[in-house]
Amino acid sequence: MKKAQFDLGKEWILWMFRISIVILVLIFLYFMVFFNISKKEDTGQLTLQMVQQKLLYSQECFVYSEENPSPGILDENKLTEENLKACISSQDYGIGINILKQGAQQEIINLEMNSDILKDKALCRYKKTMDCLKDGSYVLIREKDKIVPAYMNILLMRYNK
Amino acid sequence: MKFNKKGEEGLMIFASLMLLLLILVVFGILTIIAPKEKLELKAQTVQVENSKITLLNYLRTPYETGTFQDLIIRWYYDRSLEPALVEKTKEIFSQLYGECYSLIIYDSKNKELLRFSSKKKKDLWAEQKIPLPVTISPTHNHLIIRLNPTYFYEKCNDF
Repeated sequence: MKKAQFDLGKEWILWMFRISIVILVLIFLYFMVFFNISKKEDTGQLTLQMVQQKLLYSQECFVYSEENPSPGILDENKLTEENLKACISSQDYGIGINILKQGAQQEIINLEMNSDILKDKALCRYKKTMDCLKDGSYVLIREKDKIVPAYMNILLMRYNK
Repeated sequence: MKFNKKGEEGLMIFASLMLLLLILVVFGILTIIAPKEKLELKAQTVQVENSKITLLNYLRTPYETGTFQDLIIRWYYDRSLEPALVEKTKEIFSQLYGECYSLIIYDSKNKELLRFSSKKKKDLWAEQKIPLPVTISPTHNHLIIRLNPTYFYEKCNDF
């Protein structure tokens, strides 16, 4: 009788030990999964880069298009603020574009959208408050009968919500 | 060395606990590190796309009666065109990237034919990491050009 009681007690302790390990593993797995699901990835820069790509690649924006769109070649007639607003139809982005045409006459084209956001440029230092992207590209501009090289500097800003 | 039954059982439990611990640690490390790397890779890919546009436009830039693409092909057969090619190319990229870029023309055997860069080769760590090779033209696919722009160099980012 005493031996049976002892065996039962020993088994009970062993099972408690096993169950506690299983519980610990489950808690660990729960936290690992929870950590990944709840973790906020910083996609701010990526979003701004997508907007930049749209400006350079989409015929809805500035890209010259005859039969097919020519990414990287901009249409002179499309370089207007109205077209920029129609292309990026969002109030979240502050966009400043500066195009410096090369050639015999160096002409500058400035386009802005949501200028009030661009005024807060100083906030670009604080990534938690503002996402900023400043980048330059070498582009070609299609004018009436010729192609003119130009430098296109883009400043994109968005409040980090 | 012989163990009795209880010793064997204890050893088995200890070994399986250690194995479990190892699996959990590896799983934990992979879970924390892996997603961050993927996101950084995506962001970098977008930047690569942007510099491809710059490189493409460089090749399409009008020069005399043709383009820079034609000039490079002509230079390959006639090296007297090198000063003009070097001057015009530096003019285009220096205004965009300052001194922080490299542009290399090489052949299909990886032999460097021409390099535009003001930095020493050892400083251009990005060249090995993010190559951006583009063939000059379908008719001259043995000529390859590679651009590594400013934002691939950590020291050159001013924003």
